[in-house]
Amino acid sequence: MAHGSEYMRLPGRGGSFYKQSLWLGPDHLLSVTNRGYSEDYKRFYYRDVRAIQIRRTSAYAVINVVCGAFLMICVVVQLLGAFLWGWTEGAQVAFALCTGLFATLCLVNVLLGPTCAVHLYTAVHNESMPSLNRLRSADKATRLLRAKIESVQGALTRESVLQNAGALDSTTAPDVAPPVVVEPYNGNFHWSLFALLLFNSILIVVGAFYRNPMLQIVNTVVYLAMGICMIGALIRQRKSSMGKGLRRLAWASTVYIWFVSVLGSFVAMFILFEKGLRPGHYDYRDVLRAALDRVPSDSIPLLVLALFSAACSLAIGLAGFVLMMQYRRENR
Amino acid sequence: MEVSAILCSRCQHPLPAAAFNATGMTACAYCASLFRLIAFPAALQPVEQGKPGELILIDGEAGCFYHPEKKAVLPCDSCGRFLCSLCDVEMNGEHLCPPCIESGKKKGRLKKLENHRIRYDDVALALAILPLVFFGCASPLTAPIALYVAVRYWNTPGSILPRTKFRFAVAILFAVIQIIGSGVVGYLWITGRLK
Repeated sequence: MAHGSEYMRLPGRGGSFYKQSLWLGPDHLLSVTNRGYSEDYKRFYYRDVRAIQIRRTSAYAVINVVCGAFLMICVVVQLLGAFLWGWTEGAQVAFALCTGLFATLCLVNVLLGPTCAVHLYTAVHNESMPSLNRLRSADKATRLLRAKIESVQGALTRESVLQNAGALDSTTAPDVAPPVVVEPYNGNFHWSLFALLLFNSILIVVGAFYRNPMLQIVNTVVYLAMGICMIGALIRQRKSSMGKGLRRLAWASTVYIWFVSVLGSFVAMFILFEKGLRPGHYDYRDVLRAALDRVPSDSIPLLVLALFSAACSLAIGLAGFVLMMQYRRENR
Repeated sequence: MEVSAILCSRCQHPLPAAAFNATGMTACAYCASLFRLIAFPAALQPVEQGKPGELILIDGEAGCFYHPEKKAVLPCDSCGRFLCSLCDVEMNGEHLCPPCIESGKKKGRLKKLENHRIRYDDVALALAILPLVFFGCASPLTAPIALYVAVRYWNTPGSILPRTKFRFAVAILFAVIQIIGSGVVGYLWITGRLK
């Protein structure tokens, strides 16, 4: 134990805003929340701990997918910039730094391993342990903690669990499960979102071949409206009776909108670079002018991207309409 | 008394007995999240109900100091007042009354009830270094405050966790350097040798 202290540190450090750390004491586990210039303590006595739950979370996969997607886009744009668009060395180095950042984030996430949420249960607590947010550190910490708790309480044998299985499982029957609160929802946000996606696919196809400032403005308004509908749909579907298919489609449209926004930023950067405009030397009028000067049909990669976006938008919009009709029939 | 269920941390549904100390991950029957449950004997013990305190039925029986209508069961180990089973709080083998616990917590006598501490060493260090980095002109004002905080709280218990006086020492060093530096600059400025 460090400096003859009665506490020994457990692996793991984390927390959303304030950092938390866990320390093994002689008869209790100490949870320390660091609030900058002060510390808050919580003690969990070994004799009171009933169980520890380690639950896998999807954060690991989400971080990998998001960083991986950004990394892939960066690599593709970097290659296109170097070999097709004839970027200057400065632009290539600047973009390589961006690519390196996402590659580092991906690598660090992979090295840290899968994510998890750890909860500690006593008769009166169900306490989250945000410092144990990676499976590896959680396993290591719970091994040390388990040894301490078992030295006080003894080990829970399989036989004693089976003897009490009836009592434990009687509370697990579905009829005593907490009731799921369903809020009535007519699906207006979803209808609007899918209708806008269909309209958006038409706008993309028309915009790919036809240059018009009005079209650009309408397209921007449609994206803003889609963003609002998407947020509304995600909020309202949480407590609705919607099926998994519709919920997943709402999430798919979220990914699509995010993907198109990122892609749009890269295309705008590409157009600005192509026009010789460097950061700090242009304002929003230049960006608008540059965007209006080009149509995707001018270049093959842009046309492919535009048609791909239109196909995604159309597919999500159509599937959404079909499922929404089914949802309306079921809720009539 | 019934054994109370352990609820899934995600969906709040009770977890089945088969999941207790199972090797590998188990999927929750309700939310399908993968989890591992390390259970201990306390999980199978029924939750004890609090004692209500017995009413005095016979005249002459000692009553609780805080609830005169309830029977006293023992005296407080700190103040000696008679306590009923409702007022008796057992802590580290001692029986205490709630006011003694409250005052013990306030005065820091009950270390195990301490749930908050200010880290004065970090405060002193921040006062000594941050103004130097971000607002250099403020250091003649903040350096004496940093020195005061470091000296005043040198012996105050800092964190419960292992911690040395290193931060205090660094804060004092920086504060002294800044005070001397400010004094020299001030002297040169007053005597007109600083242009």
